Amino acid sequence: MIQRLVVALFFLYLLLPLSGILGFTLLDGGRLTLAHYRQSLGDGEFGAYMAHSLVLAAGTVVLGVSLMTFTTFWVHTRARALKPLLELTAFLPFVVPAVTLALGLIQLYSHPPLALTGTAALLVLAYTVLTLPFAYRAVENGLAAVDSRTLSEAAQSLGAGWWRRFLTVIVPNLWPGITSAALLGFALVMGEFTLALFLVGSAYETYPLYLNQVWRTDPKYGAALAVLSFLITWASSVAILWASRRAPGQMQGAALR
Amino acid sequence: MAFLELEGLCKTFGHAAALSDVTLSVERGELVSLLGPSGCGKTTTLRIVAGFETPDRGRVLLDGRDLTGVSPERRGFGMVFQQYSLFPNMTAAQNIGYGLRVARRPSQEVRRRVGELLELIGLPDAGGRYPH
Repeated sequence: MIQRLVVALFFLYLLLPLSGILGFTLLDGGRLTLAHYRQSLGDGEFGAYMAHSLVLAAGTVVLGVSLMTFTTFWVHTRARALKPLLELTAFLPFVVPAVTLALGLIQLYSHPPLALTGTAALLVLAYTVLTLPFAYRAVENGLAAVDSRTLSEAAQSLGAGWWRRFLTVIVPNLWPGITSAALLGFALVMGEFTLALFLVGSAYETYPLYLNQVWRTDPKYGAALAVLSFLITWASSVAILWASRRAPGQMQGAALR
Repeated sequence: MAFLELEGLCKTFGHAAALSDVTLSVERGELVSLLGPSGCGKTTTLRIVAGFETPDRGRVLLDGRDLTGVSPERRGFGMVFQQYSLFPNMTAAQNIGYGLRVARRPSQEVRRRVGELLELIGLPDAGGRYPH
């Protein structure tokens, strides 16, 4: 009874704001309307900025997750003494506030030869740092769960070198962890505001920045954009999950031939 | 000189001495068992022979060649682990053929050999199944 109540309250807590915003966009003067959603169809900026955000999210996920999977396994097998350092480094982004991180990055990357401020590349690099804690946790848990050390040694005794072990034994077995790291990183980037505002602003406007800008002048359309953002992020997550279910089999197949 | 020679192997983990001055000669084709209570150094000895641990002192010689600094994947030693450690992402047939594929044997030979071995252990139809 209590359990059900807790679950019900939990869903209420999650869904109430969403249903509120949904109602706000669908009702106009007491009438049901899709006008605010139809507005997005003729809005070229909507598509362009959504594309920016999707590109940033995809870039961040690919870079961050491969970097962290590689590094974590490397430390696991080759440099165990560095593990505490890696753990500490991976959690630093949680401690440093986004504004501080943004100001530091601007300071560092606004002079040649590293004049990256205002470019999408810098934003991807910054987001990669931001998603490291999630990637690290997911990969580290995966490595612990499959007894990766023994599997790696078994492959090694059969003659497999480091890269071969990493690609044919470790990555396929870490796949669930890698997927969840990708999902977390993706969702994080799709909603990130502070770094995007400071680092690139209008030079490579992201969807959250656009949403914020619309919200001020046209709250109804802004709210509709928020709902669309939720739906697109959600659909992308489902797509990542779907692709990841299929990928390990294909990867094995490729590795075997 | 014997085929496999362990010369004066010593290994400590932290303060615990796992091996002190272990010397052993094994002839080609000879079957040798290491017996002893748990923690006496059987596993450490085997891991040093396979190359997964480096001895603090002593050498491992195979056919007169010093293997001490050679990495495990270059030694060509088979090792069966205490936990049977099948690769969970591969089928039974893929598990059996892994070493041959790593050694870049032609796929026809791998398939033939895997088939023979599945036959030998009485699981000719289980080749496509996963460990779990």
